[in-house]
Amino acid sequence: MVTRKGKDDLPGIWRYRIVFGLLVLVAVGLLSYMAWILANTSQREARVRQASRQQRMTIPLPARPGNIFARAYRRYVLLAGSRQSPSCYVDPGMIRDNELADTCLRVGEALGISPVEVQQTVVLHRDGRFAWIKRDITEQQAQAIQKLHISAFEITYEWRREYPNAELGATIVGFRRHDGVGGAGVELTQDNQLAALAGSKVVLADARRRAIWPIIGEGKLPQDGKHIFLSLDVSIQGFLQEAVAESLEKFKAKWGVGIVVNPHTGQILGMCSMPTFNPDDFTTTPAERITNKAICAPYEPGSAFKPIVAAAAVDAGIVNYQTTIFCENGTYNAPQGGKISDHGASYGDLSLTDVIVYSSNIGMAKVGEKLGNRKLSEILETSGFGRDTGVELPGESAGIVRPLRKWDGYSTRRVPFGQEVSVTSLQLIMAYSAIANGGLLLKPWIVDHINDSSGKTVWQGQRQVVSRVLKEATCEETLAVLAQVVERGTGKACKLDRWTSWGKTGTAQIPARGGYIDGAFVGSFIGGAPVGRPEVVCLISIYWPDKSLGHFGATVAAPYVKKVLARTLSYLNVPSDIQADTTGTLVARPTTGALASANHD
Amino acid sequence: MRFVLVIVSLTAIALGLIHLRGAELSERHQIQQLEYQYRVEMRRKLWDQQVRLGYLVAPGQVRRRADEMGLGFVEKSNVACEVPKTGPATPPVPREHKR
Repeated sequence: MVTRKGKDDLPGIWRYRIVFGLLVLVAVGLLSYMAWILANTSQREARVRQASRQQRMTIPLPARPGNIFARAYRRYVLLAGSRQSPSCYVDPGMIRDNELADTCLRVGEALGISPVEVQQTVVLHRDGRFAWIKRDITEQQAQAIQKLHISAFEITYEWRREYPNAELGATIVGFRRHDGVGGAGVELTQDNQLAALAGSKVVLADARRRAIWPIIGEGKLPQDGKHIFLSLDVSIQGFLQEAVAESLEKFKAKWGVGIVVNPHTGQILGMCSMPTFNPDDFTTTPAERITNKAICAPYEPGSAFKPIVAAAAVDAGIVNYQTTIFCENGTYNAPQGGKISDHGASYGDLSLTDVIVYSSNIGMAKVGEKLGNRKLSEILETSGFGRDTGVELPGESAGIVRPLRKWDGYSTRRVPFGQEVSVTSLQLIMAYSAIANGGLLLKPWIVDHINDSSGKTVWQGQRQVVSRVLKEATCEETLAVLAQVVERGTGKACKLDRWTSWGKTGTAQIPARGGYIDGAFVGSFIGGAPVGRPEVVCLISIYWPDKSLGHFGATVAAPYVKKVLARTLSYLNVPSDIQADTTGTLVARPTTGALASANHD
Repeated sequence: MRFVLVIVSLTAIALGLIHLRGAELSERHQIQQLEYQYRVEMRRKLWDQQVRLGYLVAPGQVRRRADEMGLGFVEKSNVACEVPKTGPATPPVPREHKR
């Protein structure tokens, strides 16, 4: 009979038991160790952190700051944009001495620079852990470095803000500092809109630190900055900058400003402060070039102020444009008002129209007497002087309007022709825009709309009426008077070939402590066209031109406003409002009032 | 003999699993890399191209290139500013038709 042997009787079974016993012991040991770790809180947290550090990897996801665009006829062009450019750096501590020469040779070849230069950088920073080898390299050079697989040399990406249009509109756009924060202009005021929020992605990594598996719910999506679309038109801006630069060069002036606005909406189509700067080189630019003097530098407007006071006086019914004013034959010793002259001219009786056309200081001083200080002060206040306009640009000055209690007999006669008051160019052009649009003082604006990174409009600018300052009838009369300034007065240099135009010169002395600087003037001209329905208003002010070359607004500014107006109206397709009559003489065509501002969409 | 066969088979299975696991990790890493390329590198290239395009269409650059190439472009504003000229002094000569 065959008997079946039990397992215990098998030969060599003890070996299996020993091996199995050992495995059980190891398993029990490991489980005990894990239980001990889990039981010990401090150890557990440390281990969990350690495991997390080993397994998780955070990958940064860059987000781009918003761009700034300006109009260019029926499209937009980039004024400021950001891109990431690769740069190569070294950790000198990770290179052995015996590998240095060979490594530097390979890196130098990849970057197209001298290996000696690379070696010098490494040796100079031998004790440190970081040194730039070359910044702003090409993508091909970056790939060449990465292919070398030298752990000491790495590539990092840096943000660069670039300004493709360089000096065009530079004082408006401003610049972005190297740390990514806006430093001036729209870059500064719209920094919160332009700013991007970098994201991150958390992944599980393997032992070789390779990203393997994304951890959903951790990390955050990058948020690109919003894009700013300005109302500025690069073509009009170019006309303006060219004109102001030409005048500065011809009359050797210290600086000049120019503004072009749409008087019906308050949109700024062009604004410059010359000499300007290149935002790419802001670190080497003197601060006064970066300053936008069109809003930051108030000056006495001089005669350019006369139509504003005259229009308000007519509007209030105190005078009308036919009122005769005796201009004292050129010299007026006003009671408690000092001596006033008409810059060498000798006028007798003039209508208020001719006071404006021939720019008589005495005539305006007498209008001031009729108005009185309180009314004059009210006119300044309602016309927007002495306070910010609220434009979306930094550093705006409110100008200087003294409190009424400090006004005296001098003020009564001086303020009406633009002395004892300082205004910014923007305030002045907005006051003229009110005359051009039928009496509404508008808030100037330069940010047309803001889009998010997907192209959706998140903010749309719109016309904002500050207040009604004049009646429509008064504005029509005032424009007719200003058209005569161009036709037969001080503004003849702004007479256009294809459109009727209006405007006013201004020549003011530059004040200093206790008086005026001898031979120092600001020459200005503000004009618009066509007279029937002004499509654009342009101001150019030239500060401190060389007196021997010319200093009157009619000389240093009016011809340049003419150039800007002519080019701008052509560019905007504004139809000519001048036609030849039966005798061949050019006369103004009756206006339809239907010139579509949509031409400039 | 049977024991050796089991061990060899198990080893082969283990090696196969390790290889599969390695391949899986490698593929997953590639997926992550592709996603990174899409999310970062492509966007980076796009940003770069937008800025480069900005340079190319900047009015000043266009004007300079047109001048360099002698294209004879005249700005819209300058064309319209010119006073319309009368026709040419002599009428154009009609072209002769070849028969």
